[in-house]
Amino acid sequence: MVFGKLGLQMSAIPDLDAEMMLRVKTGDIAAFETLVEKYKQPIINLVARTISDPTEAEDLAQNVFVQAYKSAGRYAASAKFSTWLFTIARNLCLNELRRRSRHPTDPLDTPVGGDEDTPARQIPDVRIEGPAQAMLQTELLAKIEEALADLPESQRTALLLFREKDMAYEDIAGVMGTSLSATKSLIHRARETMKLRLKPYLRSGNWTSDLEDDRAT
Amino acid sequence: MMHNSDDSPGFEAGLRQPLTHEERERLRAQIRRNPALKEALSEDVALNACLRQLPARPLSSNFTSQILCAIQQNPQTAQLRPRWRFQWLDWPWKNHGLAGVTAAGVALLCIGLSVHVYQDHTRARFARSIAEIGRASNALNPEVLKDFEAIYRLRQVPVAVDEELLAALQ
Repeated sequence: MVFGKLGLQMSAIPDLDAEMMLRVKTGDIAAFETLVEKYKQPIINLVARTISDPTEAEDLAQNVFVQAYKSAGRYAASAKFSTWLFTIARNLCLNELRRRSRHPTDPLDTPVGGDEDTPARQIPDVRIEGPAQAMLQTELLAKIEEALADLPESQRTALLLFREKDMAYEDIAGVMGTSLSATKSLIHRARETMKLRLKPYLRSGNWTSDLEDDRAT
Repeated sequence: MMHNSDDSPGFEAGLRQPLTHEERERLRAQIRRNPALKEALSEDVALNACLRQLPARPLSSNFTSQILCAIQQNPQTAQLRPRWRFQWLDWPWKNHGLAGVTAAGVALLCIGLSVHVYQDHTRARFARSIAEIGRASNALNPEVLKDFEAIYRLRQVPVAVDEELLAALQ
């Protein structure tokens, strides 16, 4: 067992990231750099969609890693490294959201066209199949981002973590600080809300053809 | 990793990667068994595709280097820097007295070098002096020094006594 000598109960699958973080404890900067390179994109994806501020998101995401490094001395590998890191990210996001609720500021970005329903941030999509398809895709992605932003923070975070390939329900529960059943409930409610918001778009997409029986055609 | 029997069959289908052929066949089989599931499954698959296609947020190209700079500049994180140089030493004051010891060592080194340079300079000056004396002594013909007769005759030269000076002095 990977961490048997530490007397910890770990899963049968060794957590290589946790091993690397234990090396960071001894001052191995190269190991820390490897972890940053691996997790920087998932972390900023979560942070940016939680605080809904692209300019602050990168600073906050960097702060996540700085805090992780500062806490390296206390890291004990009792949980997966990803769970530990995402917990730091979520806590910093919550601190930022609380700070903003105490000191609200007017957004500097004005909506495109002056319409409140139009998002200020247009997200380009590189998967251009044709002009009309590209436009639909862009509109769909914008609607998805809107729907995500409108979810309560706990549901949104749970759903975003649910996307991550290495996050099991137990890991998400660890980050959220909730029970397993409560975590599943959060994810389920988030998905139902999203499906309701995106119903017209979900029906118009071509992914439903994936489930069409070939024998029916 | 996340499969749960309580979830609908399409709950995770296509969420982290596009549907595989096996997953697609499994879902189609479930729809054939229960056609009422088609709408729910289709929505789940469609939502998962939407979530999967969410674009990655932009990152600066120097994101990692900025973090490493912040770590190195922060005194709190400096304690985590490797101390392998001092692990074989067990001095209790190594964290605070080492700077003083280093400074004292450097000062002693400078003093030693200065003394050495001074001594070298002094020796060189002494050597130059000896060389000059040697040159001066070489200017005299040694044969002259051996002519005692001439030296003796110098002593024979009468020297007139200045009687008037003597009287004045008395």
